[in-house]
Amino acid sequence: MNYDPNIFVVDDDETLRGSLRWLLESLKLNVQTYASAHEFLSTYDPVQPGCLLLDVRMPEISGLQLQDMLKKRRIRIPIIIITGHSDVSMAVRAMKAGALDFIEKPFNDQELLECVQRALAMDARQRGEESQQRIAVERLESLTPREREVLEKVVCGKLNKIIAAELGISMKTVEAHRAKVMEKMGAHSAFELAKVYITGGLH
Amino acid sequence: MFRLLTALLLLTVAAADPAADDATRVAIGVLVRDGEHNAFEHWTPTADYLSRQIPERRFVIIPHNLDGMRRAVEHNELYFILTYPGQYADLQARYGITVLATLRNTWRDSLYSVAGAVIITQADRQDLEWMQQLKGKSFMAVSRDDYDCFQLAWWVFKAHDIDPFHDLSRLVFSGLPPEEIVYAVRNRTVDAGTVRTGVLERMAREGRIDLKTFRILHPQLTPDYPFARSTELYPEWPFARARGTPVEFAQRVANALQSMPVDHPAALAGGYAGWTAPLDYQPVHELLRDLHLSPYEDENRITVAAIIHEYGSWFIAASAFLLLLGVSGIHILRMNRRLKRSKRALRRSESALRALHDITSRHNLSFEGKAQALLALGCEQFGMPIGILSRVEGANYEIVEVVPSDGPIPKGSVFPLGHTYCVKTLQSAAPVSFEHAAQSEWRTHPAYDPCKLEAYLGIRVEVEGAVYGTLNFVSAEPRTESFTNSDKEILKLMAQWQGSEIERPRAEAHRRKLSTALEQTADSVVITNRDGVIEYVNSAFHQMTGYTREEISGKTAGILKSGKHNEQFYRQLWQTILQGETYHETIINRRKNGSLYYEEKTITPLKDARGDIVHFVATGKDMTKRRLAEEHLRQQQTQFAHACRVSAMGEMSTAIAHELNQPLTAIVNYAQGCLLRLHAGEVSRIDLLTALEHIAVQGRRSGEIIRRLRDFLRTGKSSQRTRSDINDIVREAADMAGLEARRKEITLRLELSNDVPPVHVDTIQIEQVLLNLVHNAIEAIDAAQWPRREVVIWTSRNPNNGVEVSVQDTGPGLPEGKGKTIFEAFFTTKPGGMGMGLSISRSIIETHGDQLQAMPNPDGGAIFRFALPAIEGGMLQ
Repeated sequence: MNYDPNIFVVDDDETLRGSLRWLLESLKLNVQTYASAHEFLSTYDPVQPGCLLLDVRMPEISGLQLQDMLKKRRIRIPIIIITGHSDVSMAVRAMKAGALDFIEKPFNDQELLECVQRALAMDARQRGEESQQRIAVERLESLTPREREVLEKVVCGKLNKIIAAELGISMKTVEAHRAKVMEKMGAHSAFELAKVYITGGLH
Repeated sequence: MFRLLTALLLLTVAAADPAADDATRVAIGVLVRDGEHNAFEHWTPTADYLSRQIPERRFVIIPHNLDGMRRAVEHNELYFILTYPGQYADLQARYGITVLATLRNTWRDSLYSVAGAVIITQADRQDLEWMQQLKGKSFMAVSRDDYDCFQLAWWVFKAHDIDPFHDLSRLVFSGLPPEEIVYAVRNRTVDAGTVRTGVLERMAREGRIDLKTFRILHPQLTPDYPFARSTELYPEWPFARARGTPVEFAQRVANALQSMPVDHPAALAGGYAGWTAPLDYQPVHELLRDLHLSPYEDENRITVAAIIHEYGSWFIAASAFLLLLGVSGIHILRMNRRLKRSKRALRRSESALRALHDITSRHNLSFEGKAQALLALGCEQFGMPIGILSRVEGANYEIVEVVPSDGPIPKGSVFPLGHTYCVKTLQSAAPVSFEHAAQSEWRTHPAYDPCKLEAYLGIRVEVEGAVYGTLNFVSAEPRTESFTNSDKEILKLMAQWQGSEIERPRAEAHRRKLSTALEQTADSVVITNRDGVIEYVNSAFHQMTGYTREEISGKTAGILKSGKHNEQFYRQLWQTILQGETYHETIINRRKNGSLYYEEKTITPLKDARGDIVHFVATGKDMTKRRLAEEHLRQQQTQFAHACRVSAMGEMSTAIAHELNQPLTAIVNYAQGCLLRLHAGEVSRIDLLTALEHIAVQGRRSGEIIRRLRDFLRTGKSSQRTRSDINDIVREAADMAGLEARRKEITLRLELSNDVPPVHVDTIQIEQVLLNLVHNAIEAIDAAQWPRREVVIWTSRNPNNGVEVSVQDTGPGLPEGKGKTIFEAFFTTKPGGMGMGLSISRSIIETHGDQLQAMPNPDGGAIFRFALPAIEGGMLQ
C-alpha cells in the first residue's frame, strides 16, 4: 500500500484540474484528480493519507455537501476549499463546518504550498493519534476482567494495599496482576499506563 | 556519295512531311489578330516550350490571317493550328483538323477555359435597358469575322429578332484593341458595343474604367464565372492537329501542352494559363450554322439545279398530277354553273352587310335611329313588311322599336309573351323561321289565330350574356321562297350588333364609374405598355411624384428610379411581371423635386385574350411617413435594447467574473508550474510544450469570453438583420447564461432541432431575448430555492415553416393573475429588478413579426415561446 501522502483534487473544471495537477506536481507532490464528488467518494480509500483540495461550487454535489458527507462517514481528511473571490461567504461556511483553510483563485504557489503542507502535517498528526488509540484499545481488550479491575483502580491512583482490600485479594495477587497489566499495556509507569488507558478509553 | 544520298533521302522525307524545310521543323499556324510581330512575341515561347519537351523536333510559329490560315491548311503546310474557335470549327468541317488542347485563362486564382461576349451600354441610358431597344441605335464591335464577341453578340441579336446589319442605325467595326470599344461606349461615341468577356473587369482592375458607368445588356447569370456576360459561354482557343500530322506525335504534343504549369513563362508570354484537355466545340458549330457562317454559309440557299437534283422524282409525280387535273377540269365546268347561282345570293348578302356596316358606323344616329334603320334594312332584305325589336321581361313582351312606325302595332305596346311566336324564338340560340303558318303546325300556335301572321323570321337578342328580347320580322302574306342560310346569318349578325348597341351605354356608364374611381383614389395608379412606357397616370400619382400627366407620358417608369436599389432588384421586378405574376414590394423612388419616398407598389400584368401581356398596371401607396416613423421607432428600440443589455450584464457580472477567473487561474497555475520546474532544472521539453499549449488555449478562452461580452454590448445604430442559424444564436446565448446557471447550480439544457430553416434576424437582439428569458428563469428558480433546477431551450420547425423557440423552466411559475402585465415596462417580481427585460424582449420579437407568449409549464414552472419567420427561398442576397 502506498503511504506517501496524496493531494486529492475535486473540481468539475477539467482545465483547472489539469493546471492544479501540473502545479502541484511541480512541487513534487502526488496528485489525484476527480471531476465530481461522486467520483471521489467511489474511489477514495480513507486509509490513504493526504488532503483534499475541494472546489466549493460544483453541480449536483457541491463542495459543502461533500464536506458534510465525509463528516458523516467519520472521514477526517483535512479539507482546503478552492474559491473564487466572489464566493467568500461560502468559504466561511465551509470553514465553520470544519475545513482547514481556503484559497482563492488564482492561486499563489507559495500560499498553496504552505496550505497543502499544513494540511498534510495535520493529516499525519491525526493519523498518528488514531494509530496510538487503536493500539491502546487492542491492549485494553487483551486484559482479563480481573486485570481490567486492577487497572481501573491503578489509574485512579489507588495504592496496591487499598486495591487488595477492595477486591478482597492478597497484596501479592494485586502486584502480580499489576505487573501483568503493565506488561500487556506496554507501560513503564503508572503515568504511562494512565495515558494508554485514556487514549483507548476515549471510544 | 553517301552524304548526297542522305541529303536526297532527307529531301524525300521533307517533301512527304507537311511544309518542312528540314525533317525536324514543326510548323504551328497561328492566327494573327494584332500584327505578325505580336503573334511571334506571344507564341514563340510556347513553340520553344514544345521544342524543349520534344527535343528531337523544332517547333516554329507561322503567323497567318484567316484566309492565309485556310490556304495553309488546305495545302497541308502546317502540323498544328492555333486559331479562334470559329475558324477551328470551319477548318474542322472542311479539312478534318482536330483539337488537342483548349487554352486556359486565369482570373483571381481561378482557371477558365470558356469565354463569351458582353454587350454594354451606358448605365444611365433609360432608353437602352433591353436588347430590343438596340434597334435604331449605333453599335461597335471589333470585326465582323471576330468570333470572340461579334459573332456571339450577333447570335443574341438574332434571338431578339434584330438584324445587326439592317436594324441598327450604325454598325462600326473598330478593329483591335477592344479597349477602344469600351471607351467609345463610355464617351457616348456609340450607343452600345460588344467586347470579349473579361475585358471590362481587367480594365476596371487597372483603374481605367468604372464598371458602374456601364450597363450589361441581356445579362446572363454566371454563378461560377467571374465575368459579366451577355452571351452563352464557348470554349477558348483550341490547339489543333492537321489531318496529316501523325496521331502518336500529336498525342505527345497534347501531353506536353496539358502538362504546362499555369505560371510557365511561355504561358505568361502568351497571356494565358496553360492548357486543358480539349473541350467540346459542338456549340461553336451550332452557332455558325445558326448564323449561316462558313462552313454553313450554303445552307438554306435554294437553287433550281439543287431542287432538280434533290427532288427529281417529285417532278415526275407532279406531272402525273397535272394530267389528272386536266381530266377533272371538265367536271369543274359543270360545277361552275351552280356556283354562279350561289354568287347572286352572295352578292345580295354582301350588299346587306354593307348596309349593316353603314348603319353601325353612323355615329350621329341615336339609338332609336339606328334600331329603326336596322329594322328597315331587315324588312327590305328579307322581304317582310314588319320588323320588331322586342324586350321580354317575365311574361311581358314589349315592343321597343317597330317598322313601320305608323303601322298596326304601336311602339311601347305590351303583349303577353304567350301570345307571340317569340316564345319559341327565346328558347333557341338559332333563328326561328317559317314561310307559311297555315300550311304548317304553326297554325295551332296561340299567336296564329288573332293576327293570322303567315311568315316569321326571328332570333333572340342577348345583352351581357342574358336574354334581352327578340329581333323578328313578320308578314301577313305567306312567303313563296324559303329563308336561306345567308338570310339567317345576316339576322344573327343584326341581333349581335343590336345586343352590343343596347349594352354599350351600360358598359360606358360602368367604365365611367371605374375611371372616376381610378382618378379619385388616394393610391397612385400608373398604366404602362409592355415595355414600361407610361400611358396613363392618375392625379394621386401627380401628387405623390410631382410629375404631371403631360410630363410623364411616353417616358418609362425608370424616371422614378432613386438609385437606392441595385440592378438585381429591378431585374427581379421585371422577371416577375414578365412571367405574368403580380409584383409586390416597397420601393424607394425619387420625386420630381429630387426627394425620396417609399412606395408600396403592386404591379399587375394585364393580358389580352391570347394570354399575352399587353399592359402593366402599377398601384402605389406612399409609405414614407410610416417608414420614417418605423425607422425612428426602431432606432429608439435599438438604443433601449442596448441599455437593457448593459443592465443585464450588470446583473450577471458576478458570473462573468467567475467565468473569467477559471481560465486565468489555469494560466497562472501552468505558468507557476513551469517556473518551478525550470528553476529546479527538471522539466522535459514535451511537458513544457504541453503546459504552454494549455496556457495559450486558456488565454484564448478568456479572450473569447471578452469578445462575446463586447459583441453583446455592441451598440447598433439600427437593427442589423442577417441570415442566421437559430441554433447558433441559442448556443451563444446559452454559453453566456451558462455562467450564471453554473454558479447557481442550475442545469441549462439545449434541445435543438437540426431541421430548422435559416432565419433573417438581428442576432444580438434575439440573443438578448434568450438571455433575458434564461436569466429570468434562473433567478426565479434560485429565489424560490426550488428543488428541481433546470432550464431548457428548445428549437423546432413550426407548421408555418418558421422556427419556434421556447425557454422552459422548473421554477415557481408565472405570477398568479398577472396575465399580460408581466410584459409591461417596470413590472417585476425580483427585488432588484428593473422590470425592463420582458418588455424589451416582447418589442424585439414583435419587430421580428411574432408575439412573445408566456404560458404555464405542464410539469411546473413557466414556458416562454416565440416564432421567427424563415427566409423565403432565395429572396435574400
